[in-house]
Amino acid sequence: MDLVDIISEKKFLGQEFLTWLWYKSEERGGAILLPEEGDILVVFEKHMLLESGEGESLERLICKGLQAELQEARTGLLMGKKLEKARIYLAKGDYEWRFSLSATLFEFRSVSLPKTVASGDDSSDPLAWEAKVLERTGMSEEVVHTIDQLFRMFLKIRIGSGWSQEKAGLKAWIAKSAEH
Amino acid sequence: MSSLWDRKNERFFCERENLPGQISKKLEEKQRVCYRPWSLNIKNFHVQKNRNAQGLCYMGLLSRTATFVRYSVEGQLPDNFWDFAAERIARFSFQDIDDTFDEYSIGWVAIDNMFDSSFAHASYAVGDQIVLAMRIDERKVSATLLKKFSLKEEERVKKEHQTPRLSRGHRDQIKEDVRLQLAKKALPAPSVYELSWNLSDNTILFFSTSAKAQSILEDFFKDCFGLSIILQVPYLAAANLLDHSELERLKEIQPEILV
Repeated sequence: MDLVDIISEKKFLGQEFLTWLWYKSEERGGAILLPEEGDILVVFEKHMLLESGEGESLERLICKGLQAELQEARTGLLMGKKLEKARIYLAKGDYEWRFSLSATLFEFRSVSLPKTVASGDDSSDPLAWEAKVLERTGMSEEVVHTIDQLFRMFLKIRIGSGWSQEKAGLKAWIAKSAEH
Repeated sequence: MSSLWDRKNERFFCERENLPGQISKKLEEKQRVCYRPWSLNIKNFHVQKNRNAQGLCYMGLLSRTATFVRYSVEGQLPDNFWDFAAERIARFSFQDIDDTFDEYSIGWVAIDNMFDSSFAHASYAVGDQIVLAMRIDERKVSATLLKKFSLKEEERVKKEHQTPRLSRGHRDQIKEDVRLQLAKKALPAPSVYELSWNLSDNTILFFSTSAKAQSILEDFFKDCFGLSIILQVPYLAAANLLDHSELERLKEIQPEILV
């Protein structure tokens, strides 16, 4: 299967993951327990894109707004839509990131990296420059690595025997959140 | 020249007209960071805050916010990798076409300076990573201009030959000649895309979500290093997260209805 076929046939995997992640983040008020790492904070911020169907029957719903509770998006879930893109706040240890994640291609957009000591601009010192580059690539890789860990959690559940129970919880959450 | 930080649209305006009283020292500092000498020829212009002073990379590795995708690098790296990389990067470094009539040039430059293709000021080797910027210069001809001057030339040829119509082949030839003439007059427009190649896990972060740039990178990387790179979409990323039996089960799953 070439990449184009994989993207079109398996795009549901990323969308189901992102939808599950929203459910998981609201299950314990934003806290998600990462195996061997402890709790991290994952909060879905007020900007998301939902999709359903494909080809000519593709429907998209964009929801954003600072004061919104994303009611339209929750109703969209109830209509069978899944999350394609979301703005996420992630806190892990002392660091925090904000980024938009697109589900189909795993694109990390507008990633706001944690502010650290080496964030200052001292391009005249080669060592400081190298430290800054290493830190920025490291922080970028860390957010990808964390999403990998969450994705692994989802995949293990999705292909395992616990999926029926997880799906029931997910469905109940969708039904309940759309009511409010 | 004056400057104004547009908070609403988060961009930095520089205009020729004076806007007295609106320039603070901080804004002037921002202007120096964003200043590019060739912009002086333009009456009004704006520079997005994430644009590097000497590059044109939006949301790149050194920008305040970054946008990226991940690739995996397929295949084994050579034993004497750093020698191999040095030779290949030098061979595929960017060649300037400002003083030639070439229409297209692609090559590696330093991430913080698009004019440094010899990596004199900053090395591409940072820890166990290779950080590079792929620079593409291209003389572009706008479709409107091409159409206008092609029609103009067609009219001239029809008058000269005293014929009411030209054959399709003749018109195509005129169009190509005009395109070449206009391309020679156009200045090469640069695009810069950064990447960091983590050698310990053989993955690349490519700081662009442009499908065209990604396609060019895949071909250029293969030409340069002889290694294929594969975009890590969720299904392919899963291959690095699950064992063999789990992957077999993953192949079987179908989309789920969640209502």
